[in-house]
Amino acid sequence: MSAQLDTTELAELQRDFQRLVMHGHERIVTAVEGSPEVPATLRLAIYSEAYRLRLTEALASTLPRLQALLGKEQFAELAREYIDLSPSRYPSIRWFGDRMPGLLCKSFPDQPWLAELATWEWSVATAFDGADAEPVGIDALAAIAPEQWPTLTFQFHPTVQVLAMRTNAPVIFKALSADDSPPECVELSEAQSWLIWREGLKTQYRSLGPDEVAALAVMRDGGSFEMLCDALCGWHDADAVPVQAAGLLKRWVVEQMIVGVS
Amino acid sequence: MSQSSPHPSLGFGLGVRPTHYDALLGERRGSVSWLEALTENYLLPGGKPLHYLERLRADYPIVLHGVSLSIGSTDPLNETYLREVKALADRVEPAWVSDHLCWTGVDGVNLHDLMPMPFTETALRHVVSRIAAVQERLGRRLVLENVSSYVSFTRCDMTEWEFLREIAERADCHLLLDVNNVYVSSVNHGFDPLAYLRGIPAERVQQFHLAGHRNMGNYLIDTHDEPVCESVWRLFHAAVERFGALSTMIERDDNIPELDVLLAELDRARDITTSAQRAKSAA
Repeated sequence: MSAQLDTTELAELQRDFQRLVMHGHERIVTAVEGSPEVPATLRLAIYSEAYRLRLTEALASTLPRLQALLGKEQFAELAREYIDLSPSRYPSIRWFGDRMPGLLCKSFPDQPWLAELATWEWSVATAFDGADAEPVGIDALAAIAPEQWPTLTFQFHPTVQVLAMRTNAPVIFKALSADDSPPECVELSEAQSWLIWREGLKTQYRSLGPDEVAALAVMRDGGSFEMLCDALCGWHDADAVPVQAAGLLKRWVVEQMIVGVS
Repeated sequence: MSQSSPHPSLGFGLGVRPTHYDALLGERRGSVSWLEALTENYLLPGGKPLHYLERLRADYPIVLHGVSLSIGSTDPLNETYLREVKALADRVEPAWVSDHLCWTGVDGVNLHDLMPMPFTETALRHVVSRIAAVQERLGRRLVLENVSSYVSFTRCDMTEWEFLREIAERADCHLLLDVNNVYVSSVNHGFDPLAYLRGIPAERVQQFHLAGHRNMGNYLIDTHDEPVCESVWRLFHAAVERFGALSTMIERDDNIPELDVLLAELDRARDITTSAQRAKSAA
């Protein structure tokens, strides 16, 4: 008995089997027993058909609004292309659709809402089962001494994401989630930013004004309250800025987006 | 590592599915003795799935059942995956961790299906060495399930049940006997399912799975979308006679009915277990 097990033949058998399942290469057929009622090719086809069916179902379950917008037939066609281009490398089928926005960008350049809808659905799902963190209560803000405020920094919930959308994909998403007819898909004259996060177990999203986009960029980057005020100066009178800044922070705390103050 | 004899029976359980979370925690709390959770569905950073799993864990013993271990693959073991499974097991403290005796892909690809092994001495030794590595990584004994299959390979040195027996004994692991899978494969490959049961070492079997399949005329497909059929109930009776009353559960993955429908099906498993035990003690 050799110390090192030679698995070359087993590896070749598995590779041939996988080539049949993924690409229909038939070299494996001679290694498989058939019967008069169920020949080897039919037996193997059970695996290759199940492969496509399972992955198509997985895509439909992670991107249901994209499927609703495209219709089942066109979605199935897209899934076929995706399955061939981007085989799963994940232990969990949950992550299989991660490269769908890229394929949609390439395949439907004149319908940019499709890629954005996929990006949006994916991002909402990422918030749904993203990492947990305990939000700080509004009392935490009240307890801070006035002289500490300028240097304060805030930690955001790990599910917080800001997305700039060039189409009305989030509005389409909302309508399809409620089983309503989606609005007409349109490209916007300028990008609209959106916030996605999880409040407790509930996934939330809302649109953002440009001042809040700038404020979030500074604060999520570890900026201080003083830097937050500086960032808001571009949108508000200097006198009103501290109140605006405090108002934003209060809102983020109430919305359970802040998980640490230091 | 845990004791070498199988875990005492947990009784009758179900595969937990999100649609039944609220019923299992609410009006049907305690309606089953234990739950089997699909490992990969909870390999997540956080949020609702893990929240519910922890709440269910507070009320029920839980077993983790994986589909991506790929113990038979010639790819290297996925160490990241094993670390994640270990972390989940440390968090959930399952009664045991199971997966399938199969491979799910090579060259880094996951086909997300349970692919059949050739029953050869080489494959046997390959799997045995990997089980040892996995049991070491997880710090616990592995429970491996027989899969349904539609092909068998021309080059085989032994039967499936001989392969399973040798794996369990050489690797010192336990077995999850899926009665439906034995039946499906027996029809697809034309073997006697009772010979299969006789070939499995009783002291290695820890758990039974029951499920439905689809009859395609000349062959059967393991679909988990229908109730358990009469032939599988009969085989389950024989399995209880041979292996005793073990932890038993029903898997339903598609076309999932109300919880009460599955509970009624589980009652049938209870009745058959009682009658098989009676038949055994009378014999």
